[in-house]
Amino acid sequence: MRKIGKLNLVLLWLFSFGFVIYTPSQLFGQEYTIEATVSENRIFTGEQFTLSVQVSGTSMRNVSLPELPEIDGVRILSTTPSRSTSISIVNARTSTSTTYSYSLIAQEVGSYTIPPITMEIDGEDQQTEPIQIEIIQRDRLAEDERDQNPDIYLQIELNQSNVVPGQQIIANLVLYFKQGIEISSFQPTAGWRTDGFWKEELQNERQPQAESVIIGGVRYRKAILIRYALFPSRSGQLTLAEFPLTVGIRTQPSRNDPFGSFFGSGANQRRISLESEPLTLNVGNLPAVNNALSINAVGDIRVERRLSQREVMTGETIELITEVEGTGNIPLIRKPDYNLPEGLEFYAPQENSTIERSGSNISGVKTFTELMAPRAPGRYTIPSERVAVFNPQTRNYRYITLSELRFNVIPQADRPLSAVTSGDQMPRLQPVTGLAVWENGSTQPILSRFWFWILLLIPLIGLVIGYQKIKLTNRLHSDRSYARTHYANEVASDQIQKAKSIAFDNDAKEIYNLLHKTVTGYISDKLNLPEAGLADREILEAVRNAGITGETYNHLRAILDKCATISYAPSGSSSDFTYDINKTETLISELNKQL
Amino acid sequence: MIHKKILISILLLFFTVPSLLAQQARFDSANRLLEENEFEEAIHLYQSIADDGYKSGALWLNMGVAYTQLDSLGIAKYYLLKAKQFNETSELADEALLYVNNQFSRQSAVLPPLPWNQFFQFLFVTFGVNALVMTALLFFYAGVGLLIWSWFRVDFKKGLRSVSYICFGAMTILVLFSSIISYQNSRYSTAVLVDRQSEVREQPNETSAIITTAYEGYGMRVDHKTGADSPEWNYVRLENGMYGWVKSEGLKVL
Repeated sequence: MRKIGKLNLVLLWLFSFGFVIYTPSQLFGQEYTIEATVSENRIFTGEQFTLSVQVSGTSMRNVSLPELPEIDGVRILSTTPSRSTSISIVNARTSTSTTYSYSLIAQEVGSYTIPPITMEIDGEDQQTEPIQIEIIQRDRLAEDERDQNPDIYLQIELNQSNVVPGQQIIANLVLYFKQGIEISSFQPTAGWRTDGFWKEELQNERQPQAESVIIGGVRYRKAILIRYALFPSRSGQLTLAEFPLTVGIRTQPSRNDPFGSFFGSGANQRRISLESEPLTLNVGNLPAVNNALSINAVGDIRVERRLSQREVMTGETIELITEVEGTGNIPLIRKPDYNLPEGLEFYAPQENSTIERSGSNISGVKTFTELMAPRAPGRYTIPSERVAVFNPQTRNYRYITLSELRFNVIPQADRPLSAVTSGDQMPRLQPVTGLAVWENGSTQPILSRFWFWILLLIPLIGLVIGYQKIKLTNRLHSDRSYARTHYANEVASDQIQKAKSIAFDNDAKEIYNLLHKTVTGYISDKLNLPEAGLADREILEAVRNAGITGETYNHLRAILDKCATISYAPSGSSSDFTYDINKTETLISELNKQL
Repeated sequence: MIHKKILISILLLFFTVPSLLAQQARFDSANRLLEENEFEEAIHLYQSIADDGYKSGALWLNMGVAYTQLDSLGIAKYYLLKAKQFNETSELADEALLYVNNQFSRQSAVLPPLPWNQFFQFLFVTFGVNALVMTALLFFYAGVGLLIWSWFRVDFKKGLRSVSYICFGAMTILVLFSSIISYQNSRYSTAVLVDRQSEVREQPNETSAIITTAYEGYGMRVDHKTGADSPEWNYVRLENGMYGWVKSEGLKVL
């Protein structure tokens, strides 16, 4: 039993040792890379360029030289490469990078492929990817024309020009400089005016890298110095102003200057100021939103909303949170204007945003928090809404439906009606209970009531009557003849009554004298004749002249005759007297009608 | 004859008292609902009383209180302003209005009313047009009586006539005041915006320029004469002195 145990331990030890010495490359896999690059992809005929093969890794022990294949259109100046090696230690892990550089010269115009380059690493053949190159004929520009091209200049380059408000554009600040110029530093000298745009500087992931380009037959090197994300805030023609930049450059002395390297170090260093050309951009209009809320969202954006709680008490605050997340114009997105139910008190809404500026797009999260305080209990419903988000790729709106939200508001516990107050200074809202004073129907204006006009008429009538009365009184006092005429009938009536009263005294003379006086007095008053001294004949003549003839006239004459002759007549009875008095009264009445 | 009058009085009492008691009973029921925080039911019952043509300061005040509880502050203000027109509830309505006005999240600047408007409003609220007209009528009676008396009493003629002219002058002033108040009442009305907000425009159409925005609870004076040709719009003067057109819907006119 013990022998067996010892044997197992020995086998385990041998297995572990074998594992340690055998596994690194076989079990953990390859830990190196091989890459071939050229200094330029477009090369002039006769121009020299470099082909580099870089091998990087942590566990390389045996690396052979690259085996250059035949390359069409190109001549290899030296088959022995220059070699550079760098070693770096990161987190106690050592990595080695070895670069083999070959000088080549372009010979024939055309497009060629540098075939895969083979290397043997730790006994295994490894190959690089093939590389496309293009050899072009050098332009036959005059030397002075070539000299007119600036040695260094700055340019703003946009990634697209057909945009709408809110759509992101990447603006690269690109520096072009000719061979022989080295850029040691750069610094924007002032702010860049971008009226009509929202501007965000994108974070560069690495230092600016220069690459070679041919512009107008001249080789330049270009480097993207700064990158901005621009969001047009309105449609129309918008202009990006000049970008001012100070650049530190180092130039090699001219070959024709014999003293260039004799007096100096061989290079000129100076700082120059550059400005890009202003750039004009036509920004189109966004299409109309179809029956949805517009929050000015453009990009790949998601919208969600939620309530902080489902049940609150009156007066407490509930939050309606809208979260907008994605890639696009997050900083420019507006708060959605929801159709919120009645009965809520609103406080100042809150906005929070987190913007991510790395990479080539602006992304992030923007949160709108609407603070609402329901003031009455009940069930509240925030209706569903459609929110429009413009997709710049499809040039159409994408509509996001936000579902309906509901919450309950319960009354404050033990909160009597009469205690609805808002501070010590606030009065109490106290309903009126008990017997109320009721009015039925509408109160008619007094002017529409009949009795009012009657009441108004009474003093007016009194006024007219009073006026007439005073006018009569005044005339009676001032006009004697009018007064006699006015009172003639009254005086005659009085005398008739007097005659009647003495009719039974059998004093014929007195009675007929009174009747005569009554008749003559009445006629003289009415016809405005002298009050005394008139004979019966004159009275009769005046009456006839007044147009009274016929029976009345005859009655008058008969009464006057009887009054004149009664002194000679035998004494009569009281009935005779009464008859004559009545006859006289009738005569006065007839005369009163006719005079 | 006396028996007939007694019979009529009994019949009147027989027919009117039960109806008065009925709406008082409904009012009491609504009050109980209000105290039990059943605001919507209480309002429904109050409204049925109002629909039957009965008016009362207490009714309007309690409706205002109920709407305040439901947070319909614009409508609450409307009913409280109605309650303020009744002597028995004027003071309570003032207190409630102070509370309600403080609850509005947006409040208009308020220009003080012109002195003469204030004066006529005081006369209207304190006396009313009918009382002023009746007083003018009494002065008219006194003036006419004294004038007629002066015609017949030569000894007091001058004194009587002077007093009579004073009476006519007082009557004329009272009639003038009554006419102005009646004209103002027929042409202008107080209104309250019960919608959340409404645009005040230059002209009575939707495309016209917006002068300002009125919010719930804004008081305004409606000019019925100017707005007579546009039934869907009201020509108003806001409390801050601005004039414009507001859509009739959402506006409650007292």
